[in-house]
Amino acid sequence: MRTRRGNLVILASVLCILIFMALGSLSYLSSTDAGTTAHLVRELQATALAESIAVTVEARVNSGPWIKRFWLEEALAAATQPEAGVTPLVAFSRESGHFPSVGEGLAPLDWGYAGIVKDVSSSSRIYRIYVEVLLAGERYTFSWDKRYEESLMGAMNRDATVMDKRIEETPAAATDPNDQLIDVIKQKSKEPAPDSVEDKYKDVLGKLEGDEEAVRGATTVATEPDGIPPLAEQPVQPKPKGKKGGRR
Amino acid sequence: MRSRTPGFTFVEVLVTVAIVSAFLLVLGQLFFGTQRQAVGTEARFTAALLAQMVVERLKSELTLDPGLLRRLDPAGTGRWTASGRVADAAAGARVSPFFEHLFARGGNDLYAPGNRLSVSPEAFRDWQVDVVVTDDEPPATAGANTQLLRELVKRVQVTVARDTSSFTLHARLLAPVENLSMPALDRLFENFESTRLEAAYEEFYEAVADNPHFVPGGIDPAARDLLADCYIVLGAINTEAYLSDGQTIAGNTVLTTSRPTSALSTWVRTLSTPEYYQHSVFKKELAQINTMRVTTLFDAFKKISPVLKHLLDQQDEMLPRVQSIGEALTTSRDRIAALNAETMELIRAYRAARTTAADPMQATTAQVAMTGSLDQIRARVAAFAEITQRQGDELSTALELITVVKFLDDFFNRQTCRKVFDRLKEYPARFTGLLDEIERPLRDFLDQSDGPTPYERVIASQRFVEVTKLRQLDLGRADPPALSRIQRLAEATATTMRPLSTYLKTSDVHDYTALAARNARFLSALQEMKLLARRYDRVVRAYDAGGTIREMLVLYQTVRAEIELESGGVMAQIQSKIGTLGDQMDLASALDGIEPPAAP
Repeated sequence: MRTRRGNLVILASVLCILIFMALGSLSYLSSTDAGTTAHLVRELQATALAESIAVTVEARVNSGPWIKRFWLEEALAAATQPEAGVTPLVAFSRESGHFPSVGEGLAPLDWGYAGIVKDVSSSSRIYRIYVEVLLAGERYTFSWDKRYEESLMGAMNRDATVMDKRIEETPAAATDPNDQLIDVIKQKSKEPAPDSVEDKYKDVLGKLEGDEEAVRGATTVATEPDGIPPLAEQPVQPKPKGKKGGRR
Repeated sequence: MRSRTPGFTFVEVLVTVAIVSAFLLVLGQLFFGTQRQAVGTEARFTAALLAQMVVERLKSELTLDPGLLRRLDPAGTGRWTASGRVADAAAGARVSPFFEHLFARGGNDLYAPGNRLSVSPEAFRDWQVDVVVTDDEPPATAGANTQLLRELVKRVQVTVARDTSSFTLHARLLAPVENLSMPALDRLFENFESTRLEAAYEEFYEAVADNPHFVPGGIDPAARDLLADCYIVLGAINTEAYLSDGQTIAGNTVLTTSRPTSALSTWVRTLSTPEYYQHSVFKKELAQINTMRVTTLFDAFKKISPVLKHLLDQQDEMLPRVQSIGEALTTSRDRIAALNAETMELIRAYRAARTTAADPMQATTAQVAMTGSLDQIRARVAAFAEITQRQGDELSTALELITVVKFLDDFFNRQTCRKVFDRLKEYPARFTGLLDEIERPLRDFLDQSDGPTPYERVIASQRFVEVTKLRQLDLGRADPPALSRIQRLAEATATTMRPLSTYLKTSDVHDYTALAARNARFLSALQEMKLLARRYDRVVRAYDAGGTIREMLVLYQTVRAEIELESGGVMAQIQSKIGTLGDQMDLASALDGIEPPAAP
């Protein structure tokens, strides 16, 4: 009888273990599946939101002269910029009101964003946008380098974007390490393929690029008059006797 | 005695079956629940991917065909909607017309190998997709740019649904300039228009605040503005000369981040040599450099346009006054010359009579003659005094004008400044020439079979369209050879890049009237550049030898010297000797030593 009771316990235990393993596996697979999909959906939404901000920035900066870019004007208005060697920048967030229309379709309390727009090279008219999107507890960080370049007829930029997208915990506001990383990536991406025409002439192309940048960034200092100041003419009348010459 | 048998008792089997049944029941429910969830998850996954694909497809199509949005919404309502299924049920596996242009690559057969890259028919065929593209809502701070920003940014809302599953993705697109309405386009041109005159002065006066030429309370503000005009124009043209040709003509300072190794014009010569030009990358660079040159030139013009116009308008206003002063001065000069000649004759007669008076036989007659000559000389001295008084008064009312005219004369006749300003006369011809120089490498780039990537060809084709638009606006008519080339490009890309082909075929580059109407403000600026260059040429001639202003200034110096008694003329000598105009009592003694001045 003891043996039979032992059989029952063993049998029940094995069955329970098998069934619980099956349940656990199913639960894990389904939750992973659902989680992955939810993550993908969030990432798409975060990307769309960040790109919406970038597009809005691009439209605003390209619809006027470079000197009137909004982050420079805001920095000037805040009287903190530009000092020598200080990069003009402006920080924005969902609360700052820079881009009030983005984020449509998202639950009101479920999302937020913060970021920075700043010059990378004022002379080359390249600017960088960092956007950090917080969506349902997940943080997504994006960055773009864009070049301002209006055409003769005011056409908008084309092919002037370099984008970096990461999902990490590094706040976008901590721009220094991100800047360094992006600069290295850009530098690497510019290196020509071995044995290509660009590789053969890389010195020439490098000089040309530098010269183009110098021309793009040229500013002029107002020409000032030199020589004798154009003093006003004096009344014309006969000179008094003994006072020849007068003012000349 | 009953024997013991191994195995399960009936009760054990019952309990086991009960446990297994219960667990199987739970497991089954969980399994079916999970399956249902998996189906839902898959549907959401598919929906999200499909929505993203639609957005990306719209973006890529807009890259190839910058005029797409304008064609989708020709009435300019600011809203475009479309909806449909990936595949029509009635059409079996064939893609629906709605998706044909979004997804079809090698044809509209979903099972065609070319289409497998973009659409997996099994995954997407039953999905309903609704797309809404609307204008954006800019922030309240956009001000006058509200309409422009509204049209520049498009909201895209893609809703993907099947059965009870649905997913909506919101995105934004940057609309190329081809899609803007006329009011928005006008606003864009306004934003890039030249500096306002007041702003130009403000900037200039701030820069020269400590310069004695422009201290407040010095010369008349209107005259001061005119002088500022000259230096603003000089600075802008000089900068353009530096950026284009590598050297300034007159010495203003151009700040650059680094000193260019070569000027743009030197680069053009270098890259045009066969060693470089044979490679597509240098054709592209050559087009880019020439674009920078033409942009630099046009920017310089835009900067000086209001200032130059002010300068030329003021010159035109001054000219009648200058002519009037010149006429009065001519009359005075001629009258004074006549008085000088007549008086010299009278002095000679007086001296002859005085010599004769030494002879007692002729003393009486000579005395009469001397008195007569003195009377006549006295009358001429009085006439001279009247002329100088009147002319002096007239000139006193025109002192500001004469100051400005003298300054401008000095400015335009200084070789360095004149060379800079004369560069302006070449602007229209250089603009046309540079556009031709952009077109040539672009054309050769597109003709080159090896080297350019497909994407580079897309960009080069679009640039070719833009340059052709500019060239046509500059020419004032269509350019048939360039248009034929665009048509050939459209045909060549009809199967491989259909959106680009559509753009090349339908762009307003083919309709000069529509092109000119759409770019009326740019055209107006272009015409102003030509007009101002011609006006400048006409105005500056007035400062050349024999020109109206140069002649007036010569006259002014002559008459001024007469009035100030510094000319050495006969009347001036007499007037100097007798002192003030009222003091003519010692006229006879004043005539001693009076001689006509030596010819210059």
